[in-house]
Amino acid sequence: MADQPWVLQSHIAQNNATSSITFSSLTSQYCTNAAGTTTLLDYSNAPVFRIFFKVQFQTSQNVLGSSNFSFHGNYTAANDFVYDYQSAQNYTSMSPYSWAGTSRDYSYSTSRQEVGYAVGGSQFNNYNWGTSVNDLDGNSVASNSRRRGAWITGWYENYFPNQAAYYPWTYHVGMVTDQQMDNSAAAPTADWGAWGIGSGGCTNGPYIDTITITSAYNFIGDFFVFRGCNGNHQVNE
Amino acid sequence: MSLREPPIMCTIHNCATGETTERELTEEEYAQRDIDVALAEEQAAVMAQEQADAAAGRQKLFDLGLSEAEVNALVGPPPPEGASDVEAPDPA
Repeated sequence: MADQPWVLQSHIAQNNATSSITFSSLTSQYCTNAAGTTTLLDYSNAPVFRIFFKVQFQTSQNVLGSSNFSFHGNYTAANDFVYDYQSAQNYTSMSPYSWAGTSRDYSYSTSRQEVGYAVGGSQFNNYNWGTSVNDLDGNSVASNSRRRGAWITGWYENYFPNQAAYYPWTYHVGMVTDQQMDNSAAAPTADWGAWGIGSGGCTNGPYIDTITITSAYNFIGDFFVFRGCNGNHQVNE
Repeated sequence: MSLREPPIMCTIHNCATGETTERELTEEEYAQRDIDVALAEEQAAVMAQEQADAAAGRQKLFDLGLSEAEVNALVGPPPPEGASDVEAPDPA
């Protein structure tokens, strides 16, 4: 197949609970095309950073503070962001020059992009089909088991073609899960969830060869880092 | 010897070498995390208070004799039911 512009730069299957994941040396890796030619994934060759992920927060809190889930590039200063969200407890709205319940209404940080209101904890007792279920082998599976934890999915993206410009983020995260799966004709009770979309950036540096995703709660998950190139530099395997 | 029990870990992946390392937070990182946790709890409390205020406000409208449809038209639908769960301890 023809070479392609997208590179799967990194994949982390984080099975050990951690408080943060940092991708470093993002602009020091090479990709290879079908002819064996290598290309450095620097800003000019690969200006797009795209991270897809799913995570479980190891907490029974279903409502998280905004700073409970955040990310940033190299700098924890001079960041700016706004996001609109529907949390587990609040409806929000946004329209030109007005907003209600978005990140502007609460504690605001310039140290990072915060998205905690747009997600929820994964081990809340009242969702994921009740407090107690048995698996096929008859083993009781607790509501805070990884097997029943609610997954948060999302992506973060940055387009940064050179080192002399502000680097912008766009992102979208969310989760939803059923409260009770009772196998009845009753409507699902998919009340439990949250989502958010946002954008932001950083004027420091500017430089972005390191991206850190962090939480005040430990988490597990899968993280895929893709790079978008300015040409077909990657062999299509 | 861990700085705290249980230790809180962080993960660092070097994309150039493909090497992934896990280590405990440093004293400085623990201090920052403590600040983050306190701030997050404060934010959650603000949100919970807003939820309580909204519920009390809706009830006052009902007490004035407005119907549920009228209240919804006026201030929107009630917020979803949500409450912090305290039965299962946090491992983190």
